[in-house]
Order: sequence, then structure tokens, then C-alpha cells
Amino acid sequence: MDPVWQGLLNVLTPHYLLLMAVGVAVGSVVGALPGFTATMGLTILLPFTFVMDPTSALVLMGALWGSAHFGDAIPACLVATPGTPSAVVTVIEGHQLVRRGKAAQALYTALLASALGQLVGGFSLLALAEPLARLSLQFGPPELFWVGIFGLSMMASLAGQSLLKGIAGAALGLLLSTVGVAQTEGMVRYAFGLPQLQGGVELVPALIGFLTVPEVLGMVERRREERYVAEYRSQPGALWDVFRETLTKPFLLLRASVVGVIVGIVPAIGGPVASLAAYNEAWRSSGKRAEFRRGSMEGLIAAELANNAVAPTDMIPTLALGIPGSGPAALLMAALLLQGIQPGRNLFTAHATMTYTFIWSTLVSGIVLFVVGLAMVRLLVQIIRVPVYLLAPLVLTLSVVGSFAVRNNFFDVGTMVVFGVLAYFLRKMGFEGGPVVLGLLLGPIIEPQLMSSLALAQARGSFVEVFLLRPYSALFALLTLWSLLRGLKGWQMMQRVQPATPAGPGG
Amino acid sequence: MRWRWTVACVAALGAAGALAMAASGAPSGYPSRPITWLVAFAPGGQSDVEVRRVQPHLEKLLGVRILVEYRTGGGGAVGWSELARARPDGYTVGGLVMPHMVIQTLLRGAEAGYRLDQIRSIAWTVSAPNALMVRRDSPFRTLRDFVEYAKANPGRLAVGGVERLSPSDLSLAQFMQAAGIRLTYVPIAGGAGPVMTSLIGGHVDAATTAASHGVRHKDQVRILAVSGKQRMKALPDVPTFAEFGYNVTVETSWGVGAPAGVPAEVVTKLSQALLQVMRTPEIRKAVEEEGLTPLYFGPAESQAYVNRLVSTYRELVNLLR
Repeated sequence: MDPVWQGLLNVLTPHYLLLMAVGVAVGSVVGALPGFTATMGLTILLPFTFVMDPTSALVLMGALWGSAHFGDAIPACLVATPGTPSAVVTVIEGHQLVRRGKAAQALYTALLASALGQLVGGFSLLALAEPLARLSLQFGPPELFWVGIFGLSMMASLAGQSLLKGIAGAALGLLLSTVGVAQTEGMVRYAFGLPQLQGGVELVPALIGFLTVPEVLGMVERRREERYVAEYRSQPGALWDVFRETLTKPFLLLRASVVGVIVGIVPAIGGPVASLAAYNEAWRSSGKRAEFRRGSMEGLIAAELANNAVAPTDMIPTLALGIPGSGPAALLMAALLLQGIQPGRNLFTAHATMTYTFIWSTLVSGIVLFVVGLAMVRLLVQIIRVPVYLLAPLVLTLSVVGSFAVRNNFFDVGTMVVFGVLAYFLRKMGFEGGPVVLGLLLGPIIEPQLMSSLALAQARGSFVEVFLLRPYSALFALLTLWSLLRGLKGWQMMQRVQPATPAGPGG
Repeated sequence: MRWRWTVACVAALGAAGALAMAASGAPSGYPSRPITWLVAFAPGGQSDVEVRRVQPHLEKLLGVRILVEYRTGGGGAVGWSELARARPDGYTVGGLVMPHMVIQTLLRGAEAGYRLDQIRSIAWTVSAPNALMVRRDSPFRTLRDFVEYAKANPGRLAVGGVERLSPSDLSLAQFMQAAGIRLTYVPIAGGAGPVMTSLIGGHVDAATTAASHGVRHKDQVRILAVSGKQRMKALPDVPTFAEFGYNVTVETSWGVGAPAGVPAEVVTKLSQALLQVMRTPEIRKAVEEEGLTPLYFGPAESQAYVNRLVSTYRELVNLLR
């Protein structure tokens, strides 16, 4: 039988379905724990895969990886804590939905969008691997530089009250991203002789500091007026509401899918950027722009869909070219290597059945994720019944543990606290955490790619050729320009519709 | 109810005993608890693959678990400075990579955060020569074509490699000096993976990194030459730089070390176990197929190997200053 169909049949056997269920359950939990990323979950899993056959190892790891990006939405919605860096947008939109008393809707939306994202990603891996792999090769240093700059133009949707303050925030984030050993040049900057700063500002503690801490301190401030994060209401129809809201927006889904797939195949750019880009796209084309940053279903759907589409599409360069585009993909490849399989052409010839079983499993695990997720949501939504005087210390404890867990280092806890206090006061002055996070995420993409491109320009003897005349360089340069203009216009329109509203509840 | 107390007392005594033994750090009966293995580069990289390759076999031989922990950043400096500062009781070891370790201490001095004498080599297990490669469809069929073009068009060829002040950078500098040509080095962030993408995608004209990456992508790239004295087993048709009269010696090797001051028994035990694992036929075969050369350096040879590299690279790094 054709290996493609053999793969499908394999996936539907109890053995693989069970593996997927285990992977999904573990992945959701790993994703939900701040400080534990998909990469960390996979490194813990790796030794256990030695005793499995390679196909089972891949299926299990794939399921864990994908579902971590649903798990991370749970604490993001409920207590404004990103489970992994991919959940930064969910912290903004999901948590506002929860505070408006729509906890069940927020979690169901995240779940449905994540499952859809997994399906979209899995489908791209199955049907479009060849052309997408070729497309991913078009992205060299100058193109990646422009993608990063294009990303910065997303600032408009995150800026809040003042565009200028948003720009200042993004600049702060970019500056912070330069701490440590410069990626291409090797010199140490702003480390002040501290060995802990050599590796730069650790991303997870910084995200928790900038996004979670001000939110929790806000809860504490309002503890007399609001004893709970939100009123808990049993909402029997919530799931159907979410289905209707989500599935009646084909264009929103399509746009988020395209963004997720493109970001997935572009090397070195992953889930956090995908969710931000899809969110920004949703904001720009939304009729309900005023809802954004105050709990927008559209924003949440776009972000969660895109970041889940990334995991399977990230595997396209890995499977088709043997080049892992991210940490988790590198681990899947390592698992193959250690099983004695050299990733490359032979994955689609000698090991085709294994490869297609894995590819189908990324699709099917989307459905498994939805089923397992439903049970988790029902249980975890109860967390908002915990009063603030217990919840706030609990979340702060979780933040400390999460910051520590990234690399078992107390220095990172200090990072989290310092940035948290800073973010709290900045927010009082109208600076939002979102743009800072954007800068922190994009700095490590923009700077090294700029340095590589400059060296390339030296060899070619022309800056114009490298930065503007290569087809995809030109495309992204134009897109950046367009996005800046559109963003500015959209931002002005939003200001006109909503003059001088305070920046969202608790904003 | 009395039996409960008895059980509790016995348990407490047992725990106290275990603690006392751990505290005294007595090497007799080493290892008696899990060993932490620090990896200075990202999960999935070659340093990770090297520990994962031996992990299950080593656990069986030593009878304890091996916990892999990643301490990444600063081109390995973060992990190695942590290894240098760890307690020298044999329960913290770390993956080592040469010449990365020595280049950093030579070029960055105290900023590197560790000194080579703070880390005791236990064993060196694999090495890979550096390779100069081009795309399969490149007009350069041999190293001679490449050098001729570079002579006619100085600085016009863009050669990608892993970051600056790195083995890629150094090996290219060595080649340029030996051949009397000028190439433009394009430093690329994120390890050898993105370097290979840039080459296969046609963004750079050539790339230089460990030959094992070329072997992995042999359908898409052509290796023009490799460093070292002999041709590689995995690539018998590929000439060495030396065959053209160019003295290019940079090669990458992977090993294991512990903080200096670690008891000699620990070093012996670990290195024997490691080398035993590396000598098993299936591991040897896998290593060679991946384009790597197995090394079997025990403690004494390892220390001599490091010393030799230090004196070689003290001269060589001047090419990058």
C-alpha cells in the first residue's frame, strides 16, 4: 500500500491513539506550567524514546509539542501568566475576557483555535511540504532581517493609549535584547561582569515580569472592590457560543492560518512571533477594533490558531531538508539520529511509512487535543473561584518557581522581580508591557540577521542589492511600509471612535 | 501504633545516613546518586546528541541516572563557567567542545568566565574536520576552481559560517592565509543549521563548518575539501586541504570534563565507562556514518590533547585579531 495511506491507517490504531493522548495530556500540563516550555518537555521525554521504535517516538513527541501551545493558554487566560512565550497575546486578550466574566468562553476559544491550528499545520505538512520547504529556503539573512522589521510594525496594535509610548516600550525591549554575548560578533555587552548576564536576559522571566506581575499587583490594588478575578457563572451554552463565534469567521481563520504556516516555515522565527503577527492582522482587518486589548474573541482566535499551526509546519524544513527550524524540531531530529536514522531524503523513501504516520499524527492529535482539552477546561475554569487574597500570592509563587525553573537559577527570579516592579510603574505612566515584549522577541532576530546581511552586502558590493533588490527582501520591505501606514491609520481611527477611554479594565 | 514509630525512626536514621554519606563526598562506591551532565549548547545540537548517544548505555554501566541540563548562551561560556564553579565531587560533569573552549579563553580572557585549568578533561570521544562546501549546482567543482575565482575577484565570494571568533571563522582565516586569497566571511547566528540553510538556499556562495553537517546534507551540497591530515572515512572522494598544499588544521572535537579537583578515581571510572560505551560496534558505526571520527582519549591523553590545542591555538587566534 502507498505509505501515505499506510500512515493514516497506522495512526488510527489504538497504539498510536494512546500515545497521542499521553503526549497531549503531558504537553498540556507542561505548557500550562510557566517556565516549562515545549522544548523542556521534549528534553525530559527524549530518554524515554530510546526504548520505543522511531515512529512511536516521533508521534509522542509531536503530540506533546503541539499541545504545549494549548496548555500555555490556560494560565495566560486565567491568571495572566504565559505558560510559554507563545502565549503573550493570550495574556492580553484571554485574561481580559476572563475578567469580563467569560472564563469558559476564553478557554474554549483557546482550545478550539488551538485544535484548528493543529489541523491547519498538519494539513500543510501533509499536502504542501515540498513547495513550502522550497519557499523556506528563500529566506536568507536579508529576508529574515526584513521579517523582523516588519514584526516591529505590529507595535501599533499593542501600543495602547499612546503610539509614542508604544514606540518607547519597543525600543526598551530591543535594548534589553542586546544584553549578553552578541550572537554573530561574539563580544559581551551590558553584562557588568556578571556571568549570569552572558547569555542575555532570559526570555521567560522577562515575559512574566512585564506581563504577569503588573496584572497581579493590579488585582491586589483592586482587592476591596473585586474580591474575585471575575464572577464565576456556570455557562452551559458557552461551548456552542464559541463554535458559532469561531466558525462563522472564515476570513479571520484563513488569515491566521496563512500567517501561522508562513511563520512556521521561516527558519529562526517561531510561535511567539506567529501569534503576534496573526493578532496584528486580525486587529488591522477587524470591524470591532475597539474590543482589542479589552478581551477580543477575534484576537484570541487568531493568536491561538497561528501559534498552534507553527508546530507542525516547523517540521517542514526539518523533514524535507533535514534542517531544524527551532529547538523542539532539533530535538525530534536528535531522536531520529539516535535511533540511527539520518534525516533527509530517505525519510520519504526508505522510512516513508514512519514519516507519513508522524505527519498524520500531527493532524489527528488536533482532534485528540480537543477531546482531552474539553475535560481540562471544565476542571481548570474553577480556578477563578479562588478569591484574590489567595490567588495573587499563588500566582506570584508560580511566577517565582517558573522563573527559577527555566535554568535553575535564582538570578532569573531577580530578573522577573525587577522587570515586574518596573512594568508596574511603567503601566501607571501609560506604558504597556506588550511593546516591550515585542522588542524583546524581535531584537534577537533583527540584530544578527542585520550583521549577516551587512557582511553579505560587503561581498556583493551593494547594500541596495542585498536589502532591496532580492525579491523577498523587496516584498517584506514593501509589506513593512504598507503595514506601518495601515497601522497608523487604524490606530488613528481607533482613537477617533474611542476618545480617551482608559486603557481597558485594569489597563 | 508503636510499629509506626519504629518505621519512622529507621527511615529517619537511613535518611541521615544517606545525607552523611553524600556530605562526606566519599568516592568509595561512586557513583551512588544521579550525575548531572551540563550541556553548553541548545537541545538537539551536536553536544546534546553526544550525551544522548551514550546516556542509556552509561546509565546501565554506572547504575545511576544521568540528568542532562542545558546551560546555553555566550557560545558555550555560560555552561562552562558553571561547570568550572561546580562542586568537584564527580556528580556534576559537562560536555566540552574544542576549539571553542580554548578560543574563548584566548580572545576574551576573564570575560569568558572560566579558565581552562578549572576544568579537568575526562575523555574526548568524537571529532570532525572542518569542511569547505558549496551547493551541488555551484560552478565550483573543485577547490582549485574556487581558489582561482577568489584570486581573480578578491572579497567577492561570501562564505557563511557559525558566528565570529569561532572555529568556522578561524578555519577560513587559516585557508585564506594559506592560499593567499581574500574571501568575505558572513557570520551566521544560531549554530550550523542556519549556516546550512543559507548555503542550500543560495544566500552565500560557500560555507565552512564541521564536515558532519556536510555529510548530513550530501544530496544538496558538494564538499570541496576537509581539514586534517587524512581523508574522512565517510567521504573517501573528498580531498584534504593539505593535498593542495594548504595547511588548514582546525577541527572540532567533543569530550567530557569535570571541575578541577575532582578525585582521580572518579575520573578513571567515568572515562573507562565512557570509552567502553564508545567502543561498542553499533555506536562506532553510527558515529562514522554521521561523518564523525571516533576518538578514544582517556584522562592522560585528554589532558595532553587539551594542552596541545592550547599551544596551537595561541598562535592561530592571532589570525582573528
